[in-house]
Order: sequence, then structure tokens, then C-alpha cells
Amino acid sequence: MTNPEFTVATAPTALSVGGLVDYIKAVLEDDPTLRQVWVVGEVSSANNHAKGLFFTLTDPDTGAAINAVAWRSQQARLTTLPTVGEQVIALGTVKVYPQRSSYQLTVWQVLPSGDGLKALRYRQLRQRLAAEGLFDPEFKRSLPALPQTIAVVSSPQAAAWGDIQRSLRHHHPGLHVLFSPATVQGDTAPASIVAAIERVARDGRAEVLILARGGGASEDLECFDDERVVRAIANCPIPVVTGIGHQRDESLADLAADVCAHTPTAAAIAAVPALADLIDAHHQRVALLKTLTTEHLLDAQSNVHRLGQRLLRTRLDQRVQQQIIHLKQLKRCLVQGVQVEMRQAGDRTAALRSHLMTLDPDTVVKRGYALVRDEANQLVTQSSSVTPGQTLQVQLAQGHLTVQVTEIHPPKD
Amino acid sequence: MPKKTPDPWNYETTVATVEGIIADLESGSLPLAAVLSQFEQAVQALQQCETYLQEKQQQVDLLIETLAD
Repeated sequence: MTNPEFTVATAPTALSVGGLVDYIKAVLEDDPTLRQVWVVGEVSSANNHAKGLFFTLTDPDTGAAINAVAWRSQQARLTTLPTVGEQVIALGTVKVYPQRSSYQLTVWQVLPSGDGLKALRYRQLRQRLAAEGLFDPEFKRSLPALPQTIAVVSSPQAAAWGDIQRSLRHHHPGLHVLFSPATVQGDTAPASIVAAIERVARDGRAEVLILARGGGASEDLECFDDERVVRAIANCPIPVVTGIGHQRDESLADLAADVCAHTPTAAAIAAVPALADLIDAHHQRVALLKTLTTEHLLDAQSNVHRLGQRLLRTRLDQRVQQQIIHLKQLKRCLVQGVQVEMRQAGDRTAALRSHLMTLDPDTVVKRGYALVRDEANQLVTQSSSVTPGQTLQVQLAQGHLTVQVTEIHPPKD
Repeated sequence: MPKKTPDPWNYETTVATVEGIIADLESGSLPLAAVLSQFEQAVQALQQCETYLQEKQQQVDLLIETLAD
């Protein structure tokens, strides 16, 4: 199959019919263009069969025709059923049937021609912009938590603008809103919307932009699938919230926006937090702060109390009291001890004194005894220590005598 | 894009300060003197928030400005 012309034209041997038809089938069915092709044409005949809907698509200008089939299993997915006389656009694959050597289009989708073309263009633009990354979730910016100034791009006459004002007035009174008027319908709408978005960017004060349009038929919303509008949204320096009221699938503007809300009111609510929520959060913080600080104080208080209790349990007063009593006892013991000693000492001295009194020689002499001394003034106590004729001194109680020894009487045994 | 003139007071920054203090208090690791001074600071910050919110609440209308080329 590398060089079919050569193979077919110059092959020395003839091909079998089956070989030729297989070759034709392979050529047609392997062609990437024919595998998934959009065809515009008029339905010139239609035959609803149990297996599927067989119809013929005709080119009104040239009269060229092609057979097509939508198998039963696919029919539920068709946007429109081919009806004779109608312009349609069909997506299908070219299939070859070797038995009859015929080819036919196996159809996956059928769209009404007018809308169909539009849808096709939409799909192609969507694919192209998606490939560029304009719809990538990682490029979505988060909205400012509490914007002070927001911008609204909408038509001054549109219900959307009224809805947004009403919502914001209730949702977040006092908000600074920059209104950038735009035409949101008709051929001039895309350029007008782009200019309005750029006006907001130039002004530079707004922190988030709402692009809104209220309701309407899908034709009226075409400008939101316009490439210029989609690019203006993607390139907008501030996050964009779309509020394009519509029933059908998202517009490309919605896909490119950082947040897609389905109505202008929802967009307004998404763009700024509710003041009531802020107030609630504030009150919660106040309460939490109070609770936490009170807890800390109570902890500290109970700590002080506990320490006080522990201090009391040590019964310091009792110990001091015990010490005082102990000291008193010691003092008393000391005094008593000293007194006893003193008394004993007194008694002892008195006894000594009286004893001494009895020993005083004067006292003895006074009772009639006499002291006898020799010349050397030594007391004479033994008769043997003197000799007769020796002079002795005799001391009396009153005065004294000098006597001479006349006779010595030794003691009797 | 011209830069927004910096606001001397910012609600979010103030709230962030208060949240920080609350987290500190929740950690339970602050000495009591710090708890009290932090509390005082948080109360002042919350008072400012309160004033801000009340002012907003009392405003019944939006400040709408239409941009022109």
C-alpha cells in the first residue's frame, strides 16, 4: 500500500475483484478526513428502517448525492432527525460495502443546517481556544476575599444590571461599583463588550469584574461566544465573573471566566462576600477571643488557688506554734535548771559555812579549850614534843599565858 | 494599570491579625501577661472591624459610578 498507483497500474498480474474492492475499502476507510467528516446537504430521501434511518444527502448546487445511514443505536443521540427537504449538517464516517461495491456515510450526528454551522464554528473555536489554554482550570484566578470596588459590564437597559444592583444592595451595601456600559446584543456587541472590559482595566480601581446579561434566546447570546470577547476575558487583569443568564450549555465567555455564575444575581453574590456573613464571622471571632482569654484567666486563677491550697496544707502556722512552745519549754527547763543549781550551791555553801564554823579554833578556844604553842609558834599536840622547863604559850579565849613545863605525862595506852 | 492607593486600614489584614492572636491563644503556650496584652490588641482590632461593618451595614445604597471613555 506504500505506492498504490504503482501497485495497481503496473502489476503484471490482474487483481481479483475481492482484492480490488478490499483495496478501495482500505483506501477510503483509512483516510483520516473520511473517518470523521462534517457534510452539509439537503435530505432528498429518507427511509426509516428497523435497522436504522437510511437517507440521501444531496448537494442542491451540483446535484451530487451520497447515501447515509444513522443506525438505530445512534438515533437517540441525533440533535435532529433528517427529514426530506431539509438542510442538515451531518457528522459521519465513510464506509465501503464490498458486496455491492458501494460506499455510504455512517452518521453519528445530524444538526439543522443554520444552527448546525454555527454549532460547528462554535465547536471549532472552542477547540482552538482550549488548545491555547484559555479555558485551563489552572489559569483560573481566585476572587479577592473582600473587594472594595467591583466593575460591572452590562447594558444599562438590561434587566441584568438591575438584578445586580438589587442583589449587591442587599448582599453588600456600601460597595463601590463601577458600571462600564456595553451593548450586549447584535453585531456591535463583541466590540462594545471588549471596549467596556478594557475601560475597566484602564481605570484600574476595580478588583473584580462582572460580565452580565439577562436571559434571552441563544441567538441573542452569540456575542459571548465571540473570540474577541473570550480573549478580552482571558486577558483581563482582574478576575472575571460571568453572569450570562441562559439555559443552554456554557458560552465560551463562561469557560474563559474565572468564575461562571449562571445568572446576573448569582454573579453578584459570587463576586463579593455577604456582609451578613462577615458580621457573623466577626461575632464568632469576638466570642472565641472572649472564651479563650477567659479560659486563660480561669486557668491562672485556679492555679493560684491550687498553690494557695498547697501552701495552706503545709501548716506553717502550726509549725511556728510548735517552735514557740518548744522554745518556751527550753526556757523553762533552763530557768529550772539554773534555779536547782543555785539552790544546791547555796545549800552546799551553807553546809560548808556551818562546818567551817565548827572547825574555827577561836570557836573551840571560846568553849574553854586552849591552844598551846612552843617558842617556834608551832602547835603542841603531844606531850613528847616538849621537855620540862620549856616555855610554852597558852592561848585562851581571852588573852594568853606564858607557862613553863614542870612535868611530862606520856599518854596512857 | 494604575495601582490602588494603599488603604491605611484594611479589614482583611485586621482580621488576619485577630485570627493569628486567636491561634496563639488556642495554642495555650503564651504566658499570662502576653495573653492579656494580645487580648487587648485583638479587642482593639475587633473594635475597628465592628466599626467598619457597622458603617457598611448602615449604608443602604451602593456607590455607583459609570465609567466613560
